[in-house]
Amino acid sequence: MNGIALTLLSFYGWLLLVRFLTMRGLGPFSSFTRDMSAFMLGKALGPANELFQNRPGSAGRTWLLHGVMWFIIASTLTFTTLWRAHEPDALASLGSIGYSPTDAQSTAALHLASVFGALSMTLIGAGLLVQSRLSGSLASESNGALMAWAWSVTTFVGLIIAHTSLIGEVAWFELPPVYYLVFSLIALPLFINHLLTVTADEVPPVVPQWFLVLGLASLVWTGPAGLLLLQGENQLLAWWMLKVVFGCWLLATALGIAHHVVPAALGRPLWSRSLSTVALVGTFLTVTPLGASGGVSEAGEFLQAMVGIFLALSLLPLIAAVANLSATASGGWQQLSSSQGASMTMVGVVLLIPVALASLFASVSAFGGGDELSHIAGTLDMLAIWAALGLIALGGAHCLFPHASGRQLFSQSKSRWTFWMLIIGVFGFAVGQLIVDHVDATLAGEGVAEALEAAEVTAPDLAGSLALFAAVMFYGVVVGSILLMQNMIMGIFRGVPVDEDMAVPAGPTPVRHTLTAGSTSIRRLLSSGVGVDTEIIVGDDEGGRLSLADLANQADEVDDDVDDEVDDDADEEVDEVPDADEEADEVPDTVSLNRMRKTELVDLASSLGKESSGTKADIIARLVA
Amino acid sequence: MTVLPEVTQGGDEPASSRVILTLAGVAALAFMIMFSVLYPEQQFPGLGDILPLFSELGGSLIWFFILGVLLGVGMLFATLMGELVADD
Repeated sequence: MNGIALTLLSFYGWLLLVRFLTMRGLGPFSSFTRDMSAFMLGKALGPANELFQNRPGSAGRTWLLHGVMWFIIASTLTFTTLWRAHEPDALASLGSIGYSPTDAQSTAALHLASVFGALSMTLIGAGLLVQSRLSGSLASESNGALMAWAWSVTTFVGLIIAHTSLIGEVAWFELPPVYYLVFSLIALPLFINHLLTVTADEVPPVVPQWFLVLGLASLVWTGPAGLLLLQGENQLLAWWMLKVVFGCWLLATALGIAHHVVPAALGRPLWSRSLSTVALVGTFLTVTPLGASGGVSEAGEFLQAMVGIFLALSLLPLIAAVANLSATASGGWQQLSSSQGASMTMVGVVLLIPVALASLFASVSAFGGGDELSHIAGTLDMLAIWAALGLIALGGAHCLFPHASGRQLFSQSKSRWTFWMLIIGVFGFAVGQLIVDHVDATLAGEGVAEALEAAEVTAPDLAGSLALFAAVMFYGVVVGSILLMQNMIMGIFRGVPVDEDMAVPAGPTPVRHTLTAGSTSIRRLLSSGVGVDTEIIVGDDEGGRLSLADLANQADEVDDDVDDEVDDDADEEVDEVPDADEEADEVPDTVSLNRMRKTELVDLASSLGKESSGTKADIIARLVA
Repeated sequence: MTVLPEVTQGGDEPASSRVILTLAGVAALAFMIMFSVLYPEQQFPGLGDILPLFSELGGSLIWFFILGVLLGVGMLFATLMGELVADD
């Protein structure tokens, strides 16, 4: 009990620290820390950092390409494992070249490839692109791209380890605990990258950014925490780590991406601010039911009751997120159906509810209870990965990859095929595999075999045929992943160039938006859900509020004043106006400024007579002010 | 009277042709499933039974699917190589 209390304390203490750092920084040390971190992400890596260009979107593009490649590998491994459940000797011929994994080794390999390879890499890639779109640019694109290769190589090494005798029995963490520390070490620069990007922005982070930052912070925490498993069997810690990975990492990041992709694709802001806040806070403060195959054999009554309550409460943020995104999409179904990526994301979001509800019952019974639903727990986890989270990740890749590559995906037709292959694949698999699980559990029930024998009845091999059906249907996911990869690769070379103004949410919204002192852009405001009717509240010293209507009135007043002074200062006006126009022509917009090199920005600032010291973000802020 | 050439090939691609192709694919799959229903004693021929080159792989049908994955990955690789060395 003390162990789990310490674990929980360290986890939530870490999340609070991250929130504090993101909002407040380190006071007088902030500037030094930021410069030092930027140096560590860039020049400190030496020649390795020069391998990749620091161009906008290069990090996200690399992560997404690797992620979809791992989707192909992971779905193929899952397909062969499902098939071998029906026909154990199907791949026996590969034994002649040394490939004859046990069931445990196959499971360990597909767990690693699907969670840390496919899902994590795709979600990280989409997350980096969401962050760069909301903040203008990432702190270090080249470091992000470098980390994608490091992560991919680590996953590949893990895949080899999974086929050895080094694997353990902890569900979803079968590899040695030290191995997962490597993922945390790679995630740390990414986390710092996100943090630098968010803190460089004067505007407070919006909900998708919080999901991404706190999600990555959770992943960073799991590595060191997993080392406690080295002390020996600790079911409680392993269970909590599983919940953190599924809930605070995978689910949180997926929700962050969905909260950006759906409004952006539909061109309308999120329906409700309070629902998105509930989704954010609830995701991290409750215990997710996803990851139902993890369990604890013995637990005290108090702990069991508390876990049950927090598992049940976890439906609240999920329902809030699904309701918010569905309401955002309502009325825009035509636009939604025209974007395969957004459709995929919405289907994944909606599927979260049934998968989480079924997982809730399985998780509650697995925590110190009778584990009566253990026969469907594995299938529910597979559905969480491939149906809900997988569709959100691939939908995010679909929508965001064009922004990274600068070109649309190559073929709309291939996008449609990808969508239907994935949908039919996961639904067919779900139906077939759940029937198999129930039939197997029933036939394995107490006294059933004896009763059948007494009645001289042989049970038909229904489960075997349906297992084959489930595996064949899952093959649709493999085909869908290959089609998406081909669409992305061809899109890089031959896709239609992307317009700069695509995927910016806009439209009427009743919400209010608070601004702190500093600068921002219309794009940034639109991305955070502000519409033309939004009341903009500026946090001025007098505590007053300023709405767009007020701004319009002020503009009128200024015009009136100018009219009054025109007669008196006509000559001066004539001299000043051309200067102002000239300056406006010389300073490009924020997006263009973010794409410029620092030396170019310094030259521009100097030519305009503005201070040219500080970071790139500082110079841009001065230029657009 | 219009005189048609000996070989006439239209350039159009009606949307319904894809529907027919899909239906044909589903029908083929259904007949394959029916094969194992009508002749339960007879295994559906595996890749190794059809192509002697792959006889060592055994008679499992999984090899058809794995072959599909390999072709897909090969297609990806070929696409990548083709685009990289393309002149335009």
